[in-house]
Amino acid sequence: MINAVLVFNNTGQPRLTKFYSQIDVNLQQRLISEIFTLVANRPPSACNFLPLPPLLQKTSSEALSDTDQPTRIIYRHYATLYFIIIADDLESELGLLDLIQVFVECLDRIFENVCELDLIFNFETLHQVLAEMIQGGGVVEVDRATIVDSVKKAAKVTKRPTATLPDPVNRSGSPSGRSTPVNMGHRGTGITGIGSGDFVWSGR
Amino acid sequence: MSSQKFVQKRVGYLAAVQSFRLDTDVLMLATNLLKKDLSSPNQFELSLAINGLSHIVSPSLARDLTPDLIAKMNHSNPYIRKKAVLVMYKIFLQFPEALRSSFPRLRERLEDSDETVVSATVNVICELARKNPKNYLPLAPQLFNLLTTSKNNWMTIKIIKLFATLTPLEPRLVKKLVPPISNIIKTTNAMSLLYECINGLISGGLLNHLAGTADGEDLATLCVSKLRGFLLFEDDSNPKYVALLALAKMTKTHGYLVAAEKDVILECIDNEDVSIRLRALELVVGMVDVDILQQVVGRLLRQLKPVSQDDDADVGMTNAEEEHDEEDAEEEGLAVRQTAGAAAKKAPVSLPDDYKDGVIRRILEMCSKDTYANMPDFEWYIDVLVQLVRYCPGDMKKNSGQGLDDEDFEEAFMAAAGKADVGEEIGKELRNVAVRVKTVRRQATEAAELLVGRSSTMFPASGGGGKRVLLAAAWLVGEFAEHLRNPNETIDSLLQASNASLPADVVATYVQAIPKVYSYLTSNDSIPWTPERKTTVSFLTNRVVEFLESLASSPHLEVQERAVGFLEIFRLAKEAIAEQPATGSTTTAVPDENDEGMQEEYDPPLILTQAIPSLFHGFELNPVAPRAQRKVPIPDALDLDAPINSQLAFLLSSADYDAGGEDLDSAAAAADDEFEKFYYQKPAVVVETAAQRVDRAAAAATANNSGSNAGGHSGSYQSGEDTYLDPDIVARRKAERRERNKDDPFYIGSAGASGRTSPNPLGGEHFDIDSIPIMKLELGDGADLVKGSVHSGRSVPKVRVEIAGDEGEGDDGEEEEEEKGVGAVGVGSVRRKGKKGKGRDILNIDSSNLVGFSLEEPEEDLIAQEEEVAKAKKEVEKLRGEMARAAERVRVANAQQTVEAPAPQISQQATEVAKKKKKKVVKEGEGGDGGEKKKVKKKKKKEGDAKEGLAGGSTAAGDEAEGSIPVVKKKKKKRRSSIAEAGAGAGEDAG
Repeated sequence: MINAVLVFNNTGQPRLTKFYSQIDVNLQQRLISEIFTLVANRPPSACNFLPLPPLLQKTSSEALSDTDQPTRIIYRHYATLYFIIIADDLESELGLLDLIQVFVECLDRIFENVCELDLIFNFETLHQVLAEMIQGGGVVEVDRATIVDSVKKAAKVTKRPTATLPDPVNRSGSPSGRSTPVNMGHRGTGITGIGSGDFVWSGR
Repeated sequence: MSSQKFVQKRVGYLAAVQSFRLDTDVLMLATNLLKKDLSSPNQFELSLAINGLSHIVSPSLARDLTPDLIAKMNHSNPYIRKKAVLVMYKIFLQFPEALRSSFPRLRERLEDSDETVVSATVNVICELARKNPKNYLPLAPQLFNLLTTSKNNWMTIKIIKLFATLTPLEPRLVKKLVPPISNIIKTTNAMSLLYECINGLISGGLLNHLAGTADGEDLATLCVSKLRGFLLFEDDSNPKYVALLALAKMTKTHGYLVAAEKDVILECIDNEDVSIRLRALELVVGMVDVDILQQVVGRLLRQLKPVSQDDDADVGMTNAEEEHDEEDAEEEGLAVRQTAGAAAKKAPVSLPDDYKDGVIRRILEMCSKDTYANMPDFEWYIDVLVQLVRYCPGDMKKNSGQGLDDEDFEEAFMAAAGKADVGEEIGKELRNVAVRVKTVRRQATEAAELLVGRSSTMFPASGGGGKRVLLAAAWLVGEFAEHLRNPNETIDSLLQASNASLPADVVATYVQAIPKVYSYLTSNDSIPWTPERKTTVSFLTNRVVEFLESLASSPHLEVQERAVGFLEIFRLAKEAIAEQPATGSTTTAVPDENDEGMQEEYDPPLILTQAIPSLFHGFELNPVAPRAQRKVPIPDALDLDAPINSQLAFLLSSADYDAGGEDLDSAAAAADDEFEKFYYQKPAVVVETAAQRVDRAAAAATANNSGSNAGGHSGSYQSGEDTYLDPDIVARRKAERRERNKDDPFYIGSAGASGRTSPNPLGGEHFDIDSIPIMKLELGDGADLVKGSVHSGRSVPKVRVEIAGDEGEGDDGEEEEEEKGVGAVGVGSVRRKGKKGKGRDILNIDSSNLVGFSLEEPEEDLIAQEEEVAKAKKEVEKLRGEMARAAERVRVANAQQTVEAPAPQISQQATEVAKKKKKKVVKEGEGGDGGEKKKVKKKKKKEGDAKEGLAGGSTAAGDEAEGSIPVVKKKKKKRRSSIAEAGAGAGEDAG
């Protein structure tokens, strides 16, 4: 099964961390930084499989017989973001590689030309997309259309049609126009720290 | 989470998922909320709850929510169904009992109309099957059907993985599976599916099972050819990586097929991606043999070559041409290399040190495998070792340090004890070769001589790695001093004052090596004791004394002790030399007294010819097995507590330290240049010193790449070697060759050493030395030819060299067994530890609950169960008569269990269990209080332990053993839950 899905950017700042087992936050962060150092040093032509970082290596040598150990780390690099899946050997390496591709394509369809900022400000949608694909470490759905469809439908359920889902038409239009409903209406519970009017959005 | 608004609910769940842990208190309050959300009409709320639950599920939540989730598995919407199915796995992990009640539903879902639901189900079963495959064998027909009909690659992959876990238990599946899987392999376009099919074939043991049959061979060939296709992908390295992984697994069963693909695999060693290289390296180590060893090592050495050197020395060549070069070198000689050398190589990547380290270790591993079974040419190996020393990554700060403080010393020892330094490993190899292979002992010693002699240039003080190779090199130089090319120079470099700054253990070895070389130099009593000789020897002795004196106050105990010990001996020697008059005139400055016999003859002092050599002459050192020491019986008279010398204190006090000793000889006080003069005037063993020759040859080689026209007659490796061996090593080899061929009338060599750089008179660089017919003469005399006769064997593909095995290796079978037994136990305990120590494995999901969990009520081995049942029956029979009320309860329990149990067998055994429980209840009265319940919970977490407990409990059933209590409680609880699920409250009576 899949142990974790991570997304971080070129400087190692995590944008999404989803661990399908409960581990300590400190450990999570150590793991992320270890994986980042591994990943950042790889040339673009290298293959998409990482050797296990020290943190995982140690444990895997202790219990060789235990098949639950994560054995493979698959990553993909898109523009500014690294997408990483940690899985054990019941998952197929190449399959997971495709899965990342599906994930990114879905995000792309939902956000229209997805970029890092989309993921920062619509983290709920990001999580939802992931939840539609992977649940509790198992893959639920790999069909892009279905995933996108259900994420969009879920967005509509939230009475306000544009709730967490930026309207594509608006997005291509004036930036300030679309940012207001997205971030003010429903972000209150999510990010309290962000002010109301002057988002990074307007700067784009 | 309880908000009415979906958006807020979603955020709430998100936060809960990220922050809740199994021990979060509020989790207990969430049960009702989740129950409510699970019954929501809104599919998104429902899926939100399910998804949230998959993260935060705890045993109690799992227990309470199982009925709701089982209901959801039949939800009308496939969107819900698939999620409900998937979350069940998480439930099972926390609450294995749910598996029994929900398994029929799960099985139904395999035939769901919606493919994604089926896929999710397969996923869950796949995970479950890994824990206890035999429960899921009955599903094989259904799965097989899915495999043949499914169009969903993702699911097919999972099914294949699932079958890979099932086939070891049911060999008959193999025959069934081969046609569809090979069909998929042939037809599919999806690389992932193709790979997983092959992988499944390998890891499921299918290939293994079919090995030997025609089908199996066909299939294996098919797999290998597909994997070869993977390796040939130009711009995508992922397939390469996975193909190497799969091939590595295949080597165990179909090594020869894999070996056939060595060309593409060797390509991968040079891949720019380090992880691919490492995979390929692993593979290569397994498949290397006599034929390709040199080729492989050559490639690796070329990788290790520092980038800068790559740029100026030789530009290298493209891989294809290299290949060509290596294979055709023997026929086409140097011409090919020259043309190929012009081609540009792709930019070399700078390699991390640990990779270099790994490569060096792999090379050593490859070469030394099975006591050098694959080694075609030991001289070549020695060259490689010397080359490797230069490539040692300069990590290990401790080795580059000043080496004089105690910490450093300790660290050095730590390094030696734990993870040995690469340099040390190389040294060990060198020593191994020298000791085991007598025919190349001379070469090995010379290599060591080179290392010792040039240590200052080869190991720059700033972090140059591999310094520890000197440990072995110094030993070799001392032990085999008779093979030294130039012992005078060697002892000179051993005596250099800068050596004191080497790591302490190396210095200690140096101290040991010095007397050995010294004794070789001076002990020869056939050399007349002329005044000149006397001066030389006394001068040398003085040097030694000086060097040892500087070390006598070394802070390192080992060095100090050895230095002080030898210092005394040499002081004695010095005295003896001074007293012994020389043959001929006593005036030391008359050189023409050389001709012997003119005057009275004096022998060299006895201490030189007898005493010192006798310190080192003994039995020849042979390789000894690590366990040989154990066979030496302890002598009866051995008393370690007895004082060696009872008068020690007295002796110490009366000992006079005459540290100042005598004044230094006038000759010894002379400047170093005089010293040098002595050395070079002496009739040298070889015509010119090794260093000079090497230096000149190195210059020649770099100045003129075509200078290799002096190549020898065998040509088996030299044309390829200099692409990865440093020029000076190559040149040294060539110089040797010329030396060897000097007296061979049939050998057309270049005229003298100076002629090397001049173009060959017979015509440019295309002149092929190999085409000159060389006849071997069987000349039995002449020192060079005696040496040469060893080498003449090199024209045959493999030299028959005798490789000494370990002494004391035989007839210790039982000890070995013992060792193995110990090892096995060790491994076992480690494994056990691994299973228990769940806290340590991060990211690891604790699934120990499910390991060995059977779908059927009795989760133990049937045999054990049978015994237990029989015993329990007897007991219960007895008890039944006594306690009518208890029997009543058994009946109730029976009825409920039969309703629950899916199979008739289960009902019977459930009865037994219930009876047992009953019996326990009877014996202990109503002893089930809270404390014991806690025990039960603990036990549940460790299914394995519980199992044991149960087994123990069954045997102890009659004797009211304490251990049986938890078992009974457990059964009670289990039953209670199932009863609760059935809607009856009767189970509560147990508590």
